[in-house]
Amino acid sequence: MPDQVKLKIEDRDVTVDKGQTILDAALKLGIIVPTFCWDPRLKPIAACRMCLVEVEKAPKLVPSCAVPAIEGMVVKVFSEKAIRGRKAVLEFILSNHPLDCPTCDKGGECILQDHTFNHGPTGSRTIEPRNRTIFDEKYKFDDFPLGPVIWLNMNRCIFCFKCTRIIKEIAGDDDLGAFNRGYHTILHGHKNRPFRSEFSGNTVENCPVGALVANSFRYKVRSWLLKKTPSVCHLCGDGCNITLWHQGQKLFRIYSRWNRNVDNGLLCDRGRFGGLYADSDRRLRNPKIRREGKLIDTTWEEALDFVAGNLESIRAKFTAAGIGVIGNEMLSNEETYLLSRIARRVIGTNNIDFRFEDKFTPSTDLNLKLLYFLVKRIPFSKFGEFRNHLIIGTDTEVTHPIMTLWLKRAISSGRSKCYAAYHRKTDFTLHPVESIEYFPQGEYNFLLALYSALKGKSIDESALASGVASTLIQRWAELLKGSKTLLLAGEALYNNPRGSENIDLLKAICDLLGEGSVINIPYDGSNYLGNLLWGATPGILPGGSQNDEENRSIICKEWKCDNLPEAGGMDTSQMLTAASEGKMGALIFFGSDPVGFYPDREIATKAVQNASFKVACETFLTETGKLCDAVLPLAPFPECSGSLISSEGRLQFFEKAFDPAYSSAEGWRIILRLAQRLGFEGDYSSPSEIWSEMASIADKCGKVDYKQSQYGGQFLKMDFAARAFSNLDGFQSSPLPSPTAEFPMILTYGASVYQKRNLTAYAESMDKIDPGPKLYINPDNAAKMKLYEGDTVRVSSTKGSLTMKSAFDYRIRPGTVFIPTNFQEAEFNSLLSSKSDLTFVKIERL
Amino acid sequence: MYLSEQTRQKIMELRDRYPARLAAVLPVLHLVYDEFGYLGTDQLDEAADALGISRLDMNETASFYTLFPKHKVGKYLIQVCDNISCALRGADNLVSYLESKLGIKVGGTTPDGLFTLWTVECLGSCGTAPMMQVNDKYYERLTREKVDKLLEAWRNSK
Repeated sequence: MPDQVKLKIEDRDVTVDKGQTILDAALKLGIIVPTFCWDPRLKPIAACRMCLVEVEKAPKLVPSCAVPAIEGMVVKVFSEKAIRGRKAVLEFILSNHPLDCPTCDKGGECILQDHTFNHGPTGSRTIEPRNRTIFDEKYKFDDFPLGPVIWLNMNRCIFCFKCTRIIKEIAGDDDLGAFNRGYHTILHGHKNRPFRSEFSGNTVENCPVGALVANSFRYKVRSWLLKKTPSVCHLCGDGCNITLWHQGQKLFRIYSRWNRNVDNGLLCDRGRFGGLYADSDRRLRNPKIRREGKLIDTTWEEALDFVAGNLESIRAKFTAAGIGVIGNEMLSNEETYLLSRIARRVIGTNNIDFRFEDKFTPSTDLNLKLLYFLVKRIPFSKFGEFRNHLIIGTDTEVTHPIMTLWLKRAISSGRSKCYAAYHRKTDFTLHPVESIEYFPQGEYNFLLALYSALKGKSIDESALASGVASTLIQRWAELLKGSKTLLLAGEALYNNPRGSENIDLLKAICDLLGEGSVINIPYDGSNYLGNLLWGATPGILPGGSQNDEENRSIICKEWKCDNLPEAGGMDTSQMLTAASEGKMGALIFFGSDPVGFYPDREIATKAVQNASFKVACETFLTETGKLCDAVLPLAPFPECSGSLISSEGRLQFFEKAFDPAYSSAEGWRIILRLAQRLGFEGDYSSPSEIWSEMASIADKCGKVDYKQSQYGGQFLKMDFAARAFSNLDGFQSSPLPSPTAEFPMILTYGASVYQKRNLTAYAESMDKIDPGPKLYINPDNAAKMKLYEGDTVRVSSTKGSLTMKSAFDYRIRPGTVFIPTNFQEAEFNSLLSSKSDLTFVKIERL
Repeated sequence: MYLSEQTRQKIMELRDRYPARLAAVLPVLHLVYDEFGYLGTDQLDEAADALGISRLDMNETASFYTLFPKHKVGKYLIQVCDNISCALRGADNLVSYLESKLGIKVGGTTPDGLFTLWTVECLGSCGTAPMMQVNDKYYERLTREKVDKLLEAWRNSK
């Protein structure tokens, strides 16, 4: 075979592909060659020389990680010369290593320790003092803060350059470099800027020694005392596989679990450091109920009796339709299913929803359309097969950091190009992306323009309405035409006043592009899809089937009841509007915080105040919880078991690392106990029992095949019928309202890169990474307003005003400002009104 | 704007000469050095932008090469070898003589901006030790008299 080479390693024959290295061949035989700088995800640089082997007829030892295998090569890994060579390399590396293992956080899991034990010299031949790099005398132990969360001890560094290569090659950021030469080498950013890549934590996990240490783990615990539990990250839809390192009921750190089809051993800082929110001591500790106007601690028995009793009396007074349940998209499948069951069967209402951050909740028809696209989903690992990637309506770096790494990988392979359209600039730093910035909520007009351009029709009107130059859209149409394209449709497309039309247009565009083009809808939220499938919306029953007569009767049989509530039911917006007018009896918030996040604080606050009875089940006391009659402490993810479906369509189970801390309880247990008090007769002892019941329902009426499901990630087989897509002939561009003289700027809002809702803000590292609410503004706009970075500004809309610090971001479209939603104290939603599509604000310097 | 139009033009020509743009970094460093006599961060940033690579890569590479000065140096950069051969032939005497003569310490620049004194590793001229390199030229078999003459000549030629 011409593409394969045969060589001999340690007298054993092995055949590998041409271009593979000696190290690859040795690994194929199961021969372990020690390495420091080698990493299968990175290009070999042979910096550490630890992998030296002897090759016959070669004049000297060769680094096996970088030398390609050649036909007929005879390699000796354990010859005396090779062993002596590696020993000398280790002696060289150790000659300036401080050997401060007793105080080093890497002690016990250090690759240098392991290699020295196996291959190294037993003593040192030098008596000279070791090289010491001291940054500042004020820091103990020569450590130095490289960025907000990463500390560097340059003495321990062995110069494998894994950190800089991970940041440059994989994450595509340019804020960590190795400067100077030899043992003078130091790591820092350009012009000593702090190291704040959103993937910075990976350098710590991959550092073979203790040179890079995370602030959250530094000098806290010895790693061998910790237990490891496999889990799944909950902080976005990517579903990265993580390992929880914990001792007792304390979570110390989160590392990757290396699923090469999902995360490839990489985590974003949100997951790695933000996930430590579970360890916060500001968590709710006890159930609370309102007595004489105050929330007071109580026992679970009393709290549940109180809630159940009140719900019973509300049901008698208002009928079941006066009760609403608002969950959230981070609940596991089991919890969602139980919540849907208690709402529909026990309480008897279809008023259930899991989205509380969206102004324009998708209708049932749109939900079913979204589900239809999941049938043809593309796993991350196949992104490289597409010629073009077209991202519309999302900043994937914020919503899906790890998916973005797959995009970057496709771009850096040179075979794929990336196009991104959003209301702010998309910039992958070292990876080129073509970016279009349209008006906020200009998705519909932009899609219409792109569709018309592909059809060869006039686009002037719609391009103008979307705020993009028509030549630019024409150019994109030319570039995209006929090529195999992956369309990544973000949340802005369906959380939109024209959500349904947007999806129709997207489908039409996809059909006009090259063969094999596919629409992927990367959902935000760790279990958005699971919530849709398991009945957390009024119009979809558990199993993913539409809420109609036929499907209801099947579910009735399974649930052994006579009837379920007729179709209908309210989504979050409708529930909150009704409640604010005093038409709702009770509201149940399960991990949701409408007062803090619903884009109209006035309505949400009124809704919670005016409902006769309201109960919140949450991990931290939220703005909503403060107004509720009862607050039940919900255990965060390390303390729960269950399953999640990632935005890729991958079903993954996770087990709890330890029992819920304080008096908090797992979500499914709280729902179950409440349901039992309301007359539910069933009982479950674990999520897996709930799971088997769900599987049998899905089997009978669902559109999803759960029969093969087992521990570990796998794709679900789904079967959703094609939906009717509208005829596009009648689609007209619709100009958006323009800002007024009094309120000249458009307000946009969304999550910050480092944060998930307000949860991650409770993690200690996050104070440093992303310290507080800021108003992001384009530098050009700021210059016109004579505004400097860090100035205190007042943002006012017709609804209210906020005071915060300003920050510059060149990615913000001129004429718009951006407020991250993740800080409760900012109360961003007090500026918003659910009645108008766009919010206009004015900025004043204080 | 630090770079002159000519340097910028030359960098543009180098952009596509090599299969990878990073390969053009060293010639670009020389271009910047030729224009300014040192490699400042601001100049390098501009050169990196012109070449179309990341500013970090350009600065990292520049920092690796100790022979490029990173800050503004005198018109005459005096680099005295103080490695073994030169040291045996009295390089440290030479260095202290230069220090007293110029009134500066090693690493310093004279107030008139004429001379900068460095000690460097072996310059490969051991047979003619002690020696020094001034800008791009070697001066060998140095004695105090020779140094006096050279300094005098440079002082006068300003």
